[in-house]
Amino acid sequence: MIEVKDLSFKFKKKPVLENINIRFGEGEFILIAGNNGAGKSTFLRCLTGVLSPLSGSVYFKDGLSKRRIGYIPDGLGFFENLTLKTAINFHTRVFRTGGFDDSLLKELDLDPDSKVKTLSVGERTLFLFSLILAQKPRLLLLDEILHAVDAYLRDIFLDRLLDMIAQYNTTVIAVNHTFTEIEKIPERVLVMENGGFIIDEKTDTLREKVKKIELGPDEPVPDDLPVLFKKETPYIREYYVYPFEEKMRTGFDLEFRDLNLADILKSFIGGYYVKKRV
Amino acid sequence: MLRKEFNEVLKQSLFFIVLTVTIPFGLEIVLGGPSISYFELFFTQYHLGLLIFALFLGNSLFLWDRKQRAADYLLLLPYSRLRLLGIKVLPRLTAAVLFYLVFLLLYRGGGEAFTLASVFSFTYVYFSLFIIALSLSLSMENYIMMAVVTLSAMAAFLGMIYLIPTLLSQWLYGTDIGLSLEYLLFLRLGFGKLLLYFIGIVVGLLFPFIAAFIFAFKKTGIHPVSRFNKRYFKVFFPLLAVGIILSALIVSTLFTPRHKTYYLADKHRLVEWDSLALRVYDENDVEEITHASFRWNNRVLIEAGDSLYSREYNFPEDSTDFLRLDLKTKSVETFYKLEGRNYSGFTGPWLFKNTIAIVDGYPKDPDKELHLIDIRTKEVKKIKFHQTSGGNVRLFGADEVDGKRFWLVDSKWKFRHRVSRLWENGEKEELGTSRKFPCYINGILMTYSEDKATLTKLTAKGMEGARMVKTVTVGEGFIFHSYQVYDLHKPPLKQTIGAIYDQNNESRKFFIMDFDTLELREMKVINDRIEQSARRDPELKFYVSRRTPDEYYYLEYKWKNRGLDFREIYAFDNNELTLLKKFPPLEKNGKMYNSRSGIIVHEPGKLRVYAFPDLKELKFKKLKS
Amino acid sequence: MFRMNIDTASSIPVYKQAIQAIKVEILAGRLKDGDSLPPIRELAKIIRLHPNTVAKVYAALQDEGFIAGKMGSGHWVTFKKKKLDSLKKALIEDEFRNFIDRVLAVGATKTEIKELMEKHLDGDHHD
Repeated sequence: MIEVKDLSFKFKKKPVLENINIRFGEGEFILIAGNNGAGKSTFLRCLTGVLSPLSGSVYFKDGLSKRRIGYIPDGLGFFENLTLKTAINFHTRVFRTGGFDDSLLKELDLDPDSKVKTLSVGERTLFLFSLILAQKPRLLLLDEILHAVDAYLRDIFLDRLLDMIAQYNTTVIAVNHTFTEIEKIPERVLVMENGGFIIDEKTDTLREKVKKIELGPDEPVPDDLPVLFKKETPYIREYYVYPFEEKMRTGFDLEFRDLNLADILKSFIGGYYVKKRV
Repeated sequence: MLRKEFNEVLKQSLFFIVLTVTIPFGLEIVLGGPSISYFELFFTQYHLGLLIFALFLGNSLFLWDRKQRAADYLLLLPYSRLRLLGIKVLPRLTAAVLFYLVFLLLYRGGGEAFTLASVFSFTYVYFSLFIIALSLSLSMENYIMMAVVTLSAMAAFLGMIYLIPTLLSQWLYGTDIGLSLEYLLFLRLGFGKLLLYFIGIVVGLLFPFIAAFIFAFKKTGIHPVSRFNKRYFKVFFPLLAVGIILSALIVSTLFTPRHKTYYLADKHRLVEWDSLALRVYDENDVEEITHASFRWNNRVLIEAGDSLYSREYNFPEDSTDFLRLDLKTKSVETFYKLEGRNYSGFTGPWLFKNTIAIVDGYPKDPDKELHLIDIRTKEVKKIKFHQTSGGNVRLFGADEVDGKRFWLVDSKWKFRHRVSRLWENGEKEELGTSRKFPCYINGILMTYSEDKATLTKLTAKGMEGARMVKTVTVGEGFIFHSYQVYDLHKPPLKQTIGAIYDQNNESRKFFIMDFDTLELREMKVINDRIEQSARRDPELKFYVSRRTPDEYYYLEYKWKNRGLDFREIYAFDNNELTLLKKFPPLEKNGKMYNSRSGIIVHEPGKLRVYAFPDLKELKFKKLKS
Repeated sequence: MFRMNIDTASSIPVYKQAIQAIKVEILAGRLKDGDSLPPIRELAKIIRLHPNTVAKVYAALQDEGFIAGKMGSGHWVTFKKKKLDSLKKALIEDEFRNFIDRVLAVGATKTEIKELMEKHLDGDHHD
């Protein structure tokens, strides 16, 4: 559905995205993780056309039009001075949605005559989401927006998100949403580092490839263990191993523990910081 | 989205205009009343406020969308970049135009400072400022810097418009024009040509701003600013270079002094002028006049002594200027000025002894004013008079009776000429009507009815005035020739000439009338010749002209290039025709100029000057054809 | 409704765990023959799974004969009584094996395991 070819972007001579080549298919749910400044938000902006790449291009296939693309940016950008009512009229008209379901607004008890800028962060996020839902989106891009939303609203958001996916088979690309509630949903994970994707795997595959071992302070660490990241305290040392292979279980006499997605991604990000320091 | 933008712009505009106009206006009133009328004060503030408004309107194109937050939403709307730009620009352009139209409607009330020329200047400055401000609306983060840069760019732009013609004319022709653009242009070229030219330059120099902006926005969007600017300048500078070259080309083609016009004045002095300078040649020398006050039209209206008089509309000052070229001192001065274009009179001013008379007033306006200017002292006397019917007014004679002067006024209304006499105390006498142009020679007024010419002697004072002398039945088409009027203050003429015109308005039969007997007698020799020549060449036209009271000339000519093409010129004396000169047909782009002093043949590459009375060729050493 | 303890920190793919959990409910008799299952969309929301994953789960269960589905009518439980026992047996053994592995990892000996088994099975044992 989306093909990205040789995408590059620089900001003030510093490379932010470097030669990205990737494809996204219909109905996929992709999670993009990475350290702050890796280029994730810039990548999303290039996908939506908010930023123009320095070189390379983004192709939308299968007749995907901008009207069916939803995007919630990290700044929750919108015309703030409009009232909710005006905003809804505006959005539905411009995107030609043909209708608007205000059940979400009712659920949140939002006053349609209040201005967008008066909404709390969580309310605004859901308001933008409700606008996007009216578009019956085929593609949804979510920047790191759920962190600032309270648990209750987050729950509502997820319900509606899953509904949307079930209804429209939406392709979702979400940045950094590593909450346990969402962990089970993405089937594909990308880790971005220095403007490029260092990991592009199915979630299940990644879970098989990253394991953790815990050692006491005195236990020896084998040299040829591929350690991605380690966390050491006086009492325990945690080593995150990548790429893990099943033969390592017998090869090294160590207990390899499974990790959940959040921890896996944390280890990649941690690994980046380690490399940076070196 | 268009609607939203319109709303925002509307609010912005009203707020802004109210701010920039009422505050200074209110302050002035509070601080103690303006020295000009309230309306004039308001209007001055308004038009200044408009300029600031244009700057603001342009720079604020993306005022609320510049922050990343708002830009995120704006740029993901399902509009192409170009369409987005259009949606943003259209409401602002509309506002700019609407407020400008208000200005246009009001300008006449703005007082003396607002002539057509200043309106024109304001227009192109206002819209250029708006466009330049628009094109820089994404180039800077800081709005104050943006305004400063916009104003600087505007200054540079205006400088270029001024400099291009000035430098070019200096470089190409070595002349220093050094005038403001519209002053220069409006006075030399036709209005239509000038407009095209000006639009060409302005558009050519503004186009780089517009194109660069559109290109940079299409390729970059709003962020990052540094990349936007890079792309902007990548397009801007080459286009600017092209624009400058194009403008220079336009200027040079229009400034090429292609059309030289000539006039042979008395004492063998040749006057030549083109769009840049005027030159006076005598046998051995030439003197060039190019200073700023010189703008010479194509026609010499009066030659008197060493002075040539002409008239031209002064666009920047919105006045009709009468110019005088002094052939002795080789200088040009603005001899007299009338306000506006309301100079009336389709044959020019009138010279009587040392007074030049000019009628001031619109053709449709019955209230007119006669201005009498003493050419020695420059004293002016104005006499108001009333024209009962509208129409063009011309002076066709003047005389002095018993120490009192009168001026003869011909007012043409539909197919009648109304003849009246205006005394200098303001009294106006109606002297009847005439079917054709009346004329006045030797104290005798000649008017016409169907087939008769009526000769009336105009005598003394008051309303008694005229006394009919004779009615001459000549036949249809007869008219006395009323040229050479400037000599009327010399000794009275003994004879005058009249001619019968046929249906093609060509003179066919000439008559001479003695002022003693008032008898008309045919100029047989000439009329026979006409018959002969007409048979030989049906396109020929004929004329008898008198240069001095004693010199008559018979001319055979054709029309060519909207001018005369003389073929044969004879001297007529004592009933005998003597051939003075036979001219070959004029070449393709040739032109002939004739004046009282002689005939000039101007053909591409050569110029020949022949002086009366014998049409011998004159040579001017310094003249290059 | 039914317990779905999906362990995200397990290398067993999520959809497999979901399939297993539903099977457990059926085999334990908490879901009976003819009981309707929530629509894909609703189940997805309840357990926070991607609807495609849920669809996969239902499809797998359908293949194995635990549930049946029809367009417009959703999914419901169908199972054959005779299958129950063999499957139940397999499942129990599966669980048992897991248990043994875990207990051995702690360091229990086989003797201790047997002793504890008897103790807990004979005595009161609460779920």
